[in-house]
Amino acid sequence: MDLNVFDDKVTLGKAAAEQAARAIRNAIHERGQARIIAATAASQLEFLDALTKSPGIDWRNVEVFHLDEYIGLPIDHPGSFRKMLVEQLITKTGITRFHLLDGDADASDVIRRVGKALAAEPVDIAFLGIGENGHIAFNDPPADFETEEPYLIVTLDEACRRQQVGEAWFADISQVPTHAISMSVRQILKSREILAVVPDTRKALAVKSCFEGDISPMAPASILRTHANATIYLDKNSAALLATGAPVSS
Amino acid sequence: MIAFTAAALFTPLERIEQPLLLVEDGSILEVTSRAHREIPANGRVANFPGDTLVPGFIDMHIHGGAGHDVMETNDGALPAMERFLACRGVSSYFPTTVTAPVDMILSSLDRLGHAVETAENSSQAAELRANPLGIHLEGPFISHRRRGVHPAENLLNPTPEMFERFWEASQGQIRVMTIAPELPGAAEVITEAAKRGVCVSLGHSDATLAVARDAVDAGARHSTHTFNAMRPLDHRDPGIIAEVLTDARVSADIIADGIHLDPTMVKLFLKAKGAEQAVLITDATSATGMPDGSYPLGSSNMLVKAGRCMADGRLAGSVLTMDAAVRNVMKFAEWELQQAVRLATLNPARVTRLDTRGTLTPGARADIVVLSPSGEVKNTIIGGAGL
Repeated sequence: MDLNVFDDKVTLGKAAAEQAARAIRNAIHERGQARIIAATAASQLEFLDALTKSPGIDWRNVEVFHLDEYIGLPIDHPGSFRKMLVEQLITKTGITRFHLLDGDADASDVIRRVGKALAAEPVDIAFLGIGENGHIAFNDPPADFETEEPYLIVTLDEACRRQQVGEAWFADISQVPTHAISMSVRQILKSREILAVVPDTRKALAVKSCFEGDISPMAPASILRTHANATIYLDKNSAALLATGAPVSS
Repeated sequence: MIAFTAAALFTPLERIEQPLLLVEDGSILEVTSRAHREIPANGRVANFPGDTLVPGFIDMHIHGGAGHDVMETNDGALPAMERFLACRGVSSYFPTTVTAPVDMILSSLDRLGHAVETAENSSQAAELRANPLGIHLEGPFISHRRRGVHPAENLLNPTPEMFERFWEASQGQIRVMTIAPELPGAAEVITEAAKRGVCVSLGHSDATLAVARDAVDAGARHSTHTFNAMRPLDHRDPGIIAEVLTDARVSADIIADGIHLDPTMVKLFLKAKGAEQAVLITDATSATGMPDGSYPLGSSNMLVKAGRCMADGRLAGSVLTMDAAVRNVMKFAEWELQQAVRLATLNPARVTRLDTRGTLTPGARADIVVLSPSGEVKNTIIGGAGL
């Protein structure tokens, strides 16, 4: 696993987008298509914006899978992750092969259907964020590091739900759904490459516990240290508490 | 050569009593009155005493009929529907897609694009069938608030990239596109589509007056099933409907089945848009021409009972046929047959930029409907065939 630290989140987003674009172009060159997993959150905005502007990607050959979504939230709600994915990545690039997690439909049916499509072939690259509670996707602590199911139905913890109010997607915590569909930890780790984009001070504590503490379900993102090809993109703010003082990339 | 005679003929701009219409190789050679010219001796004569010859109807918004949906993958679906349409006087139509998962829209556009191309290249079909002349893309660029029965999950904001995918899949055969102008990115897509000769039609929209007017400035020229799935007309917040009804640059269509609009609203609409800019559509679904029951609409299903198509508790498309729409205009607005026919022939041809259809004039294609004085279809001739 590599840790890279940048001056700010715009530089971070651009650098991460360059690596992501390279991985997508290579996959298309070598296998005729790129299968990617995309995250949606406030932290991914700069990165996705830079990625959609990257040159030389034939987006017709890209298939995108959805990392996580609330259950019971309609797609036209501002907090809907599929709304963000559609607006920030899919329609900007004209991707036509995408698999949204329909949080309005029967959740067990959705995870069976999308899970089958996801597991059918290897994923080239997964884009992640890390939550204020250390979660990847909606795998809140204690995260299930064992299950091989592609998608899970999970209960959201309070820290996770409070973060969503902080990001202003919801007026108050009572409006944040209590359940969600999440890609499983093992499914994420099956990706050939993982790229985590983690800017902002509010993530500093989670970054410290995941990358300097033990590898543990209580710090879900710590599992990324076991992946051979994972890169973590931090800015000075999210890296502020790291004792080891990861070198700042220019 | 075939010589048609009848009691009257509507070009439809002109009315000719005791007409003589000459057809050769599927095209109209001459349109005159018998007082001016004798029936040529070298041809066949088709005489319709007491009836009226009008151009074949053009339906620019239709999802299905005779039990079939235009998005079906079954090869027999379009021909079955086209035979049914011919019986109802429709010679040309624009198969209309509904919002569905993107891959389904793309494969439908691909199939329909090929169907349009095949119809263009075949001079005369072995059987009497309406011809698909282009595709109407209805959704996914429509409003969540005014989506009707289009599935919310599959609506998209318009972007040039997404439009390009649809355009490519259709092989450039999209001729009409319904779009909600208030969506982010709409202006750019409206401009681009208009540049490619697409009739950009405002619809399934919650747009305010100002937003709708900006869209017309950007190139929008038509309005889809006016009143239905639109921000309602309000005297202090006039919205999209007021723009559509008052702007001379905009033509507009309605579903005149007496269900989607109250008959008096049809009358009001016709007063606003007049004989020049009003267009009749059917918005017909696969249930048209079929008994009550459950029928497909795009990727979902609807229930049909007593002329109403319902899905999710909302009014879906119709079971209207174009001949009935023409008769309804006569009934609801006390219009003459000639005027009513124009809304189903010349006007949709102009809106979709068809030079040789929707008119009975020399050089036009010989698409002819024989109507009784009350507007019942007695015969349909498509490309000169069908007698």
